[in-house]
Amino acid sequence: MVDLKSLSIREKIAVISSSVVLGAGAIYWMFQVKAVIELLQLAYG
Amino acid sequence: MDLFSFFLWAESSFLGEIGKTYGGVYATFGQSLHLTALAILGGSVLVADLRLLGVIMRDVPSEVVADQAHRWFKVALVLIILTGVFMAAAIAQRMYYSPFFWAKMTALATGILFVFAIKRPLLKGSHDQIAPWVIKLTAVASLMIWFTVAATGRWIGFSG
Repeated sequence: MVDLKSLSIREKIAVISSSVVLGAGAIYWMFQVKAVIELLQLAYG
Repeated sequence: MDLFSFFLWAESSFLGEIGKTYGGVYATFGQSLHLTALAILGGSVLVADLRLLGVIMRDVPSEVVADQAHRWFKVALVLIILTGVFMAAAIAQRMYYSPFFWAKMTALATGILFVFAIKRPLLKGSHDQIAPWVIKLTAVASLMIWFTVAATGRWIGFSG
């Protein structure tokens, strides 16, 4: 398991912010891809 | 002045009028330079982040690659913002109503903040002192942000 306690402040900030960015990005692109799939289904059945 | 009023003003400003009236200027100084800056910025991000992930240039210290790439990143960022403002001014009202424009601006702001407040402070000094998985996580997040900026930017052109 990852030892978070041994990380410096900068490393902890980087881990938290990177995780937030990746999570938000994954959610955003999931919705965008879903919208495109729905549009294609509307257009082509 | 609210945001929409600002966009209306921008479109009727000198910059906006030049971009709307002279298509050649818009294409040359706007789009072409913007794409060139995008290539430099995207290239510098890719080179740095792929090196941090240990995919390319493994014979060159990651500190050297990251520092050198960051210099070109800063130059490209200034150019991309200047040309982006010029292009957006010409079609400001359309941009105001475009969700992909706002997604791009959000991603761009996030990217700039991420680079200067998170990534650069982390990567200053020797990378041997930093946990490798933290470097890799940061590199992946950086790639995600700049991919989103590029993709939503291109998507503007395909939206209504």
